[in-house]
Amino acid sequence: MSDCPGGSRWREALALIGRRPVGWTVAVIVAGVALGGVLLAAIVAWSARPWVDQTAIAPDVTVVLASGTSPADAEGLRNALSLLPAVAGARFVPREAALAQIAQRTPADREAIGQLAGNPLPDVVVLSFKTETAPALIESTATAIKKMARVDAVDLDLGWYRKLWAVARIGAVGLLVVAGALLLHAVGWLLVAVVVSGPIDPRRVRLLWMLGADDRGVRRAPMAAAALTALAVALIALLSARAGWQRLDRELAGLGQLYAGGPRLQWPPPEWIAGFAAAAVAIGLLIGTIRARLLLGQIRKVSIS
Amino acid sequence: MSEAVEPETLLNLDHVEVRRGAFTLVLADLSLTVARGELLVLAGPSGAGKSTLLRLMAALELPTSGRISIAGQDVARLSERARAHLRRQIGIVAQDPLLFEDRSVIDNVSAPALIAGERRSEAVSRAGAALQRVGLDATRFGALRCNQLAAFERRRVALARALANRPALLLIDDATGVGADPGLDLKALFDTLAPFCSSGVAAVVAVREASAALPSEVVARRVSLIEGKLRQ
Repeated sequence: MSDCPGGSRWREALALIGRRPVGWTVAVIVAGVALGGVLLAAIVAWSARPWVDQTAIAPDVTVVLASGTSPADAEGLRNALSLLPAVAGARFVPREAALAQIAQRTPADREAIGQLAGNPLPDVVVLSFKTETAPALIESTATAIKKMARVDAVDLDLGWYRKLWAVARIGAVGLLVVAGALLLHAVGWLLVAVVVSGPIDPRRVRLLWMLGADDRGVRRAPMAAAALTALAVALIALLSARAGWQRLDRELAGLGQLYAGGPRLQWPPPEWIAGFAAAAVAIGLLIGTIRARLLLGQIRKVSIS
Repeated sequence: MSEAVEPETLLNLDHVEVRRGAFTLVLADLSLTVARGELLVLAGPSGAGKSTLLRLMAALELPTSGRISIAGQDVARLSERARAHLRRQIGIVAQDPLLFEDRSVIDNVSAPALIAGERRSEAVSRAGAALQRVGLDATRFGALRCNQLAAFERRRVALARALANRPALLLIDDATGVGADPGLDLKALFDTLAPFCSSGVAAVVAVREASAALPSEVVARRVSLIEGKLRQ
């Protein structure tokens, strides 16, 4: 069934857009450029992710082995520790190597070590944890390690990490809030473009309703017009974000030359770009549906009241 | 002895009342039936409630109280979707002939058939015939945009659109408005409607002054509506 008196929904949608070509173009360009700014901010944040990962840290835990542990047992224990969840790596440091390391530091250390009857240091395994591991998990892992055979003690200082963790959590929540605000901003610009450009005609909706078109039939052309509008906004946003990205990346490249290499912005992969355009079209369809529904409800209400 | 066959009722209004807000009574305890093939002329001055009554008959509006049934179906009990489907069987000419302004005459007149799911070729063929019925040459007017038409031509296009989809019920609001039309006065309108009524289409025509004689070849009746009350 066709509910479009003049042809397909797309032809009707183009006709709706064509009713106010200048207003539509201005609204789409303004919203597109504004959305481009939001998109550029998201791209910059996304590009910064590897640097943030590099700066992420987690505490080391020193596992002191019981005296008399054979090298084979020490290696077995190191293997077992490296398999624990949340453990990123386990490094065995023999007592001789530890003493030699201290002896290398200063002549005074060397002299002091020379006066010792024997090597007082234990064999140890140094564990490094995966970044973003919760302090509670590190603590429970340390408790479990303490109970393992051939483990004499576990050296763990979580005080600084707990503080860092709390600050990082606040930062993560802040980032989520910013991401949500950016998303709302993006949807808001699409909404502004679709509403201000006005690809809906109340008289047409009223007439279709009067002639017996069902709700879907009435909604079809405004939905298509809103989707086309949102797609146009998304394309302009991509173009303006790309222009901004090129400019910013050029600046960063110049900075990189001064500091022997530096950060560069990454342009998102094609599937992300396609996803952005598809999401814009989906939001446009949703806005078009809601507008047509509201208008239809208003028409019915006016007729019935 | 031959028994008179009761004409089949198409439209039945039973103690219908319409209020606007708490104090304004637009239609008061109105009961009326319209049979298939009947031409009902609804006469009344401006503000008498004719347009409201026609909107009720078109299932565009529901009464505050009372019951309206069309072809035996209680309109208030129908879903929005079913009411939309019901409206496809009703040809409506509103006081202000609402048209798709940026569309051609043919697009406008073929719209109801397209909405009802007919093929475009069939809808256009029906539109051409309907335009012929109201005295507009489809080859001359068909391609014109509606915003290029004179007021009386717009009313004729609206009438053609109402006739195009073979309706069971025709509702024409403020037909005295066609007085401004040099070629379609009330008598001419009745003459246009008569063949449809003869083939079973019920028609309700709202007028401000019922001066024209009712056509003799169809079952025709005149009722008056004054201040929301019906005078048979």
